[in-house]
Amino acid sequence: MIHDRKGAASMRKSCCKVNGMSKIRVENVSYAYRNSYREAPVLRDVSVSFEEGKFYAVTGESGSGKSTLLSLLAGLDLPQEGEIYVNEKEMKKLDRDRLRQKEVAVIYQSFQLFPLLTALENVMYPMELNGMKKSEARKKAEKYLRKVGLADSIEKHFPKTMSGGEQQRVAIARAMAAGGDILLADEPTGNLDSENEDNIIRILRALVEQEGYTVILVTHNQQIAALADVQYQMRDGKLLEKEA
Amino acid sequence: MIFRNSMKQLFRTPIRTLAMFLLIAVSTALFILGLLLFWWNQRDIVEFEDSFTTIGTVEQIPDSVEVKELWNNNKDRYAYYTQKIYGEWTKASVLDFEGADYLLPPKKRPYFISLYPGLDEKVWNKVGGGHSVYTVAEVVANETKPVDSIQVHVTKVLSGQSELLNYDIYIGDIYHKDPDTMEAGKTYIVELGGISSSQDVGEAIANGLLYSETDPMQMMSIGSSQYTIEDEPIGKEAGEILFEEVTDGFYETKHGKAWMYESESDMTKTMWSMLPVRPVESTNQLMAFHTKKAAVKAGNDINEEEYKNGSDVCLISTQFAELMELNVGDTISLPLLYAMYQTAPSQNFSVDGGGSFNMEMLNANFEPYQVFDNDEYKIVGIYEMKALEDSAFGLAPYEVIVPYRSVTGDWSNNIVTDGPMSIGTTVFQIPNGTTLQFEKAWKEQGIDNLNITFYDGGYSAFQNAIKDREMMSYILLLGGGIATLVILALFGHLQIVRQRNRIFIERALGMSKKKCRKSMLSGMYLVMAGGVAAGGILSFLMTDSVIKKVESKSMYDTTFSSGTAEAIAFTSQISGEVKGVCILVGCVIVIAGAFVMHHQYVNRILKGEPMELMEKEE
Ligand SMILES: Nc1ncnc2c1ncn2[C@@H]1O[C@H](COP(=O)(O)OP(=O)(O)OP(=O)(O)O)[C@@H](O)[C@H]1O
Ligand SMILES: [Mg+2]
Repeated sequence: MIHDRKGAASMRKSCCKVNGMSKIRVENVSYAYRNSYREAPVLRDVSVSFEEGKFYAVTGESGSGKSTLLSLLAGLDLPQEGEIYVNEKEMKKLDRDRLRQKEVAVIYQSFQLFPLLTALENVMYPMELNGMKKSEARKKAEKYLRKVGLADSIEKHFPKTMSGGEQQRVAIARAMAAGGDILLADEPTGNLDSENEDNIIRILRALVEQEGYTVILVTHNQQIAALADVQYQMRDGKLLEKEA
Repeated sequence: MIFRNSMKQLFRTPIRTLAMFLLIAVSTALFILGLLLFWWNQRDIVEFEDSFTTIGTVEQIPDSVEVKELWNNNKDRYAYYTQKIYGEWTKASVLDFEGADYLLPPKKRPYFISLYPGLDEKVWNKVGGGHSVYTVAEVVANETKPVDSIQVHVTKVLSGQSELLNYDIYIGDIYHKDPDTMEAGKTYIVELGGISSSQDVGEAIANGLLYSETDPMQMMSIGSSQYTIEDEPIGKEAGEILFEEVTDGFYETKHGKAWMYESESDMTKTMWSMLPVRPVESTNQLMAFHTKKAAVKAGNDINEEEYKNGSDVCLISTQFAELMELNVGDTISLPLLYAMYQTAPSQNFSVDGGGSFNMEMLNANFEPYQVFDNDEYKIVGIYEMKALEDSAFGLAPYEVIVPYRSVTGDWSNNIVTDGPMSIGTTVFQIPNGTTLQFEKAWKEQGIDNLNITFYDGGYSAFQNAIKDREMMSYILLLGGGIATLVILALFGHLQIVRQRNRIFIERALGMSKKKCRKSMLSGMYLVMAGGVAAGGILSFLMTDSVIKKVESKSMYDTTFSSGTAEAIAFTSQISGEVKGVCILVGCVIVIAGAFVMHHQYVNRILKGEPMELMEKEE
């Protein structure tokens, strides 16, 4: 990866230059929340490239636009300006529902599990949605749950009877179940104690190292961010690379 | 899979789902019951309004009732009788006042008399025992004497009892105290009444049983009872003649001709051939029909169209049909001769076949009346009068009822009786339920010599009952409808709005809007459809008992129709078909309502990009 370094500043603006296979490429993206009264610009001319099999961390002050960026990467909305490429395909031209269903999974601080479905059913959901047979989905779901270190006994539990750490692990298992290799994690440990936090980060690292996932982690925790391959900071609507 | 998960999640909150099912069922049932009751009510209201009419009768109150005296030569003393004295006859136009809204305007309506060939003999046969015969004859006075009682010799019988020819009889005018004098040997023309057709005249006279000096044969004056359409008594003004001397050329004179006409009119035959023909705008304006004492038993009542077009159709009585052997579909000829403005036919034609008429055969010119309308009438129905009565509320035994407009001839020169407005001649119709209003407005007119009486057949009492029922149907319909809406909204809120995050998760997992919609709604719809169906069944089971309850509470606490004819039967049953349709319509409305409302809920959430759904995390 080549970074354009200019001057002595420790913060550098990342460049759009590409080397090798880029998983997600963001080009001159600007985004503003709009409602009838006002327009609130959040992202200004952001360009960045996320490469396959790497662990990225994005930090930044609250309200700086980290979640917004992740949402755009997941195709939950389109930027007003610029373009996002996923596997070198233009997002605008993609079926974004299909993209989330098969390629890009997101996990959230608040876990976002179906409250009325059990742990197992939550994990089965995306597979069944992809047309997998129920019995097969069940087997695979059990496998994913084991992978994130959850005991069989948890399978029949509903989210509200599980700890935060357990819930987030179910969420990761569900993200894996979708079958893609991009995981966007928006402060996944924000609601967890440090022990659980370590646990989750270990799982995410393992995904990158063992399964070849590209993980983009948004976090407030600098120590955790430091564990990533590449660190970015969001400031004034720009994404700046942080020196290791 | 989506549907399965949708259902699965619903049953993870079983109490809420069961509550949804039950509430929908109950509110749908109420709504359907409301619909059914509403329909039932509307139908009954229509039937109800159609089956009632509000008729008013008008009667002029006499200024006074006076005792009159009538001289009787036989008894040599006065007989006394009472007579109602009306100053001026009040015109019906006074009833044309602000605030009066008539369906049938008040006016004096005549009935007509047609001379029906053969009726006289049929009636005579039926009644039996003979009838009085009127005789026009030339007599020669045997003495010179005032005609209170005088012996004469019958020299010529022009019409009537021909057996009187060549007999010496006593005749007299017993009702005038100082009658004119006949001179012995002179020939006079007279009209005599009071002899019965069944008597052997010769024998009766020989035995002195009839027409003695103290009991002479009644002399009858000839004259006219004609009125103009403006109530002018031009007949009475033309005078009356009791007897007249027959001289050469007498029959060429006006009076001579009048006697000839009188003779030719053959009062005996005329009196018994008279058939009352009553023109009406609706049988309901006849009190006998209005009170259900008379009803059409065979064929049909005259219909609206026939009234409107003035078709030549008629209703006849069972008595007349039997007497003349007539049936529905037969045609009768009704040449109309007299117009009667004083009374209803039942007040002239009595139940036993007789009658009393205050009329003369000749018009004010002492000429016979001419037929003013002559049509063939088709019998469309035969009515039965349950209890015959001679009052103004009754019907004459042979009364023929025809549409008012079917009589197109001008009868203004054929009016033989007239009188002030009375129950027998003057009725009007106002919209049901407006009597109080009418009476109030009428009072303000300050006219106090008219008696107005309303007959609504029990409408007012009935109306209250039906109003109660209508109220109930509105409450059920509105209550059920609103309850259903509220319940749908509540569940839409609980299942959709409160679970909007589920939509976000689904969207984040890459579910399309369409799939989201299915995921949110399919399970709900199944439960609702079940609830609606249960509601339909519930309403089906409840209808009869609810209706019975409503019915017993409101319908039969009124004593409708005290008449002898059956009361109108209000069908309390709702047919299976109607029930089915109402239930189906009710269910469809509820389901459609749920569909529209809940789609609305989901669509509002689904609108826009999923990003907007993300809950802000602090
Ligand atoms: N749906 C929205 N409509 C309007 N403005 C929004 C919306 N979501 C976020 N914003 C605004 O956009 C800006 C960026 O929000 P974003 O959630 O991306 O920040 P963040 O960096 O993720 O903050 P945090 O660390 O608190 O999660 C904030 O000012 C926020 O108020
Ligand atoms: Mg955020």
